Amino acid sequence: MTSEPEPSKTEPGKTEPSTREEREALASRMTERLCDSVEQLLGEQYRVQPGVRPNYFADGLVVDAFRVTERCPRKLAGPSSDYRDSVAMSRRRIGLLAVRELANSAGTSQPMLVSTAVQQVMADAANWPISLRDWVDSLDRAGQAAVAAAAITWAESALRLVGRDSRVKWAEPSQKPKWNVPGRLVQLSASVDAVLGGVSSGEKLLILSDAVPGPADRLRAGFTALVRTLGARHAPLRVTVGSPATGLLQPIPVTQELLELAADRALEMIGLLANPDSAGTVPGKWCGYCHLLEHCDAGRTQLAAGGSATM
Amino acid sequence: MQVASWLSEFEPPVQVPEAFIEQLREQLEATALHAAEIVRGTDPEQLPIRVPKSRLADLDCCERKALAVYQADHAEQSITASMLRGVALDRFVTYQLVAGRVTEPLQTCLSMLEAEAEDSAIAAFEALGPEAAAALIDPLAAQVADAWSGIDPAWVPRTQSKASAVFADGAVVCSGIIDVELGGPSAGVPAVVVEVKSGKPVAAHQAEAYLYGLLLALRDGLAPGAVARWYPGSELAAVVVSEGLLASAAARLEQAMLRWAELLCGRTPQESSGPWCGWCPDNEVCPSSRVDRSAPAGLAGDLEFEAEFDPERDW
Ligand code: SF4
Ligand code: SF4
Repeated sequence: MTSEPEPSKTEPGKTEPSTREEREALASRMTERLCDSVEQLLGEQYRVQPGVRPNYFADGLVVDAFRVTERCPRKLAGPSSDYRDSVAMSRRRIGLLAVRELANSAGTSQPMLVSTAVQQVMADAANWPISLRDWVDSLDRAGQAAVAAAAITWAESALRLVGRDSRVKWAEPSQKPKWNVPGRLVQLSASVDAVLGGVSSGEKLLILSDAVPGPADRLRAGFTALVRTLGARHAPLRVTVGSPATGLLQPIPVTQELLELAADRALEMIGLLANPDSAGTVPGKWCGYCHLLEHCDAGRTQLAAGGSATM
Repeated sequence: MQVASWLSEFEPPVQVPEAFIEQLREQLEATALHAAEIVRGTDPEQLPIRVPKSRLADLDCCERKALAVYQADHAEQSITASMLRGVALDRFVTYQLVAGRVTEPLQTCLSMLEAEAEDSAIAAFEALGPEAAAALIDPLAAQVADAWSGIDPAWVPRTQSKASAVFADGAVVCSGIIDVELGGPSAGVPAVVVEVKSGKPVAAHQAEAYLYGLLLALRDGLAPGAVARWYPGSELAAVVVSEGLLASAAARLEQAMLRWAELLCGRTPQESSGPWCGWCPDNEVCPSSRVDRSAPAGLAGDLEFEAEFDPERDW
């Protein structure tokens, strides 16, 4: 991550596209666009009732970043597969708490080991998200060892990629960027692993991906940037998609074009989630991993024709 | 010798120059572009071309088997006892590195699998029954404790660490999961890769370790100091990473990219019979099959919970 050039102060009126004012103006334009489009798309559906506290999960629509790259509309809009706590679902959150612990201890004479940070974090779960704490508490020593080992691997690989740099602010795992569409029971939600810089100089967001880099990264980065833009009322400078498995960091500048791409997709997802019966199928090799396969003729036909769940 | 003493005596070799690693990367990239072109021109739906370690091993044995394994419905594949030994061994090494000696092997293994939501492996252990399961995996726990205790935490042991390489703008992917990774750039000591093996040593294991050496070098831009295999009850079989080792791993990977691209595009696969016919999905229909029915059944490979299709990536 390199530092951005300062906006020119010697030539009044000739500002870089990354000034704070421009980032805020871009955020206003995107907010207006999303609000108008949601109004047209949903009509009277999913309005917040006056005097009733909105419950987006129970009564509304939550458009989450992990669904952004879902190719099949029916899978996207259909009932979600049951969430289950597991090592794979918790290693990032505990790993993040550990790298935050390391950052807090920076400057002490002996740099703390990642394994020590994970042990410390696991020994004091008071500030953890409640559901995560309850699940880890329910595990025996061996289950907790599996979690700790995976968190150590996650944290070490994140630090290998990004480095131990005091300017990098690692995310608090329970605080996700969110934006609630005003007056609607619709929430956009993303997740960010680290932030560099601030509102005045421009934020650079980091998202770490378990997957190897691919064409989906631009859309995921755009959606993350969009949610942050709308929620914080200023656009970040860029989103970097990091892949610890390959050692690659892919910086994606946040432009209006990127945000428009993400907004189009967000609106498409809102439309599908609001009217799941309208969602058609796009079968493909992903059907083999779809929790709706049992009840989906298109998916079963696809797999029968392809001959394999993995082709 | 214990892994800990091996590590404490380990003399890092002369570092492979970065320029050499970059040269290998360029060479792999050129071959990957060619392989991607073959598939794109014939059947672009087959992209990305995936060449994980298991596919490389299958291609080394028999092309037809590699295709048959690819086309088999993995949901229908049963988990054999030898696979369960491998599953338990990986968990015991992990436990030893994080929490110390395993005292209740079966319960430890099941609890770890439960936390990992690995229901199919749990079901396979249950189907075996507690006594048979204990007989299968109990001895491994003591062997792990003998070999894996006392490692200096400065080596920052990581288990199930990912190392992958993508080429040709993502059209060719080689993914690996390293059983144990120690040291490395952030620990300030050269990395050492250890593959934990529950079966008998075979040549393919060495090739796998070399592949991981290459993937790590490409991932970190820095070659590991050594790649090693560990079999319960044996000494660590370690090889220092040299330019020659990386070049041979790269050549094998390049060959696999091209062969797999051609096979995906419909080239008739060659049949090469061998001991591997015993665990080939096509062994009842293949004319070249040479299955020794008297040999014990079972797959010699590891059970890796690794998806062929990656929903996050395959957009
Ligand atoms: S099985 Fe395939 S086509 Fe059907 S809903 Fe799932 S992904 Fe879509
Ligand atoms: S039975 Fe043997 S020769 Fe035939 S495809 Fe399988 S591995 Fe190859």
